[in-house]
Amino acid sequence: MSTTRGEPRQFIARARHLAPQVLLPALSVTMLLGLWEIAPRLGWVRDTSIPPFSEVIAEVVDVLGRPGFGTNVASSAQRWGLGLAIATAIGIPLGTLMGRWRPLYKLVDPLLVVTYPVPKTALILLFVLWWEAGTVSRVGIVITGCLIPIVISSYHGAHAIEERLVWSARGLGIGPIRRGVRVILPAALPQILSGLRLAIAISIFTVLGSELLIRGDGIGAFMFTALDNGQTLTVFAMSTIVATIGFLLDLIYVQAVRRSLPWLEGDI
Amino acid sequence: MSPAAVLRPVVWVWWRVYPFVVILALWWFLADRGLLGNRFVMPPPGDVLDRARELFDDGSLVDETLVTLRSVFIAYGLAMVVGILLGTLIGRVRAVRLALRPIVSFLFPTPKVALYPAMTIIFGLGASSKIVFGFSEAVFPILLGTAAGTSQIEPRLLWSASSLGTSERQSLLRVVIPAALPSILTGARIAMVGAIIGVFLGEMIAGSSGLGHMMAVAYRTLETPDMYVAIVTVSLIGYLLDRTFLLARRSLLAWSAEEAP
Repeated sequence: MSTTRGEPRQFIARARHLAPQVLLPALSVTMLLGLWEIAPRLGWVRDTSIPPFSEVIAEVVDVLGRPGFGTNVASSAQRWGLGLAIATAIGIPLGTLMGRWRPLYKLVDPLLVVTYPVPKTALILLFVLWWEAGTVSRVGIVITGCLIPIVISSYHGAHAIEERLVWSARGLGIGPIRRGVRVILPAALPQILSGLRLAIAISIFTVLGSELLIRGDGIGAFMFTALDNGQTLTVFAMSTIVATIGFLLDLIYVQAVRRSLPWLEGDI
Repeated sequence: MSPAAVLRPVVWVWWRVYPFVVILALWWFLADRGLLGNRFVMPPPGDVLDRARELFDDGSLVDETLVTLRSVFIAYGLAMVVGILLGTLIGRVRAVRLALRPIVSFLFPTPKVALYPAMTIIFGLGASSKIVFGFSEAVFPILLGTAAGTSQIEPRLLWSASSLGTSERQSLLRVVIPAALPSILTGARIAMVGAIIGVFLGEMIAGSSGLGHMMAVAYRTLETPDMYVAIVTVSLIGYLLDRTFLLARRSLLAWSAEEAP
């Protein structure tokens, strides 16, 4: 963009630069939702397979008000929170130790490489055989699902820190445990936090996937029961709600990290 | 030869088989002691291997594996095409980036499993819905990797290309994509496993064939060894594809400083 002199010209130039930033996203979202609305109404797609957007939104409001919805969300959230917390409590120390102590890395890393492509969510069927369809299986599958990204990111974080930091801490006579908590963990934090962001997404996937494979309570079961009963509108409403919850959790996490650790640079 | 030189290949091989040895030993130990349940719930590796051989001999294991592989490759191929095309547009064209940003940033962190029921209604119970599941898991890592890579290209590379007479369209293929390749391939590796997980879960939820269906049926009919055969097979496929991918990546990026995985 050419630099122009004079206030009005500058204003116009800036407006010209900013207008697409506001207009284009609004336009594309409006077009997408508009297409979703009119395609079933004009018969481009059958409204039994894609109900119009406005009807889905009305159903979203209705579903949110149903008494069963809250309790199902609560039981899913409980499994998710507990599983993620335990995976974090195991994964961060393990990964950090791997980053600082080579033999542990040599022993653990090959196991992670081999188990990484296993579809963890499917293991719920085996967990149920071993431990029945209770809390142990439900929480265990979440831990299994999101442990690897936490370990790997903590490893990378702890492995890549400036050696000088560790030397100075050692030179100041700080013991190994305090060194880990006060020096290594903070230095590895950016990587650990991006691993946690990934773990949040994977753990939600695992909760929902395991609930749909082994029904019972929980939001995943609620959603797939609607599918089995042929309640198309409810299915679309549930998909919209759950997708939005996943999006919001990610947004909240990123904002919370940015607010509480303003010194972090780059992407989370 | 010095003893160290003799030992080196042995050590190399050991670290390659070591994880499998550990997993099999642990599995055998748990089954032998009955720590997770009886022989029915937790058959030892030998029983599962026998069952796998039976299923291999009657051809059903090969058939189900081929069904799953076919869906995985179609899903992955589509995700590569769409992800690289859209990702490059997002990375290089400001208007596209602005227009697609809200949609991509909503869909990327969303657990795609939330959309499975709606996609099942739209795409039916056949193979196409499994392909769509695999695609939805695979496309975003590729798309975001490509967008990140193509948007951070050294302007000097493009200036030199154009001063040497390369047209804009040519420099896209000769400069932009190669320079973005490390980032594209990082996304593509995650996407490979994503495609497998999406297809496998899809087959478990509502399928009539494939390894996922085999596992779900075995659970319902209590043919527990079949469940182990299915999940071990799909995991091995994932492992082999992941290893192959890393080898291909190494030769593709031999010129790059970012070759290290």
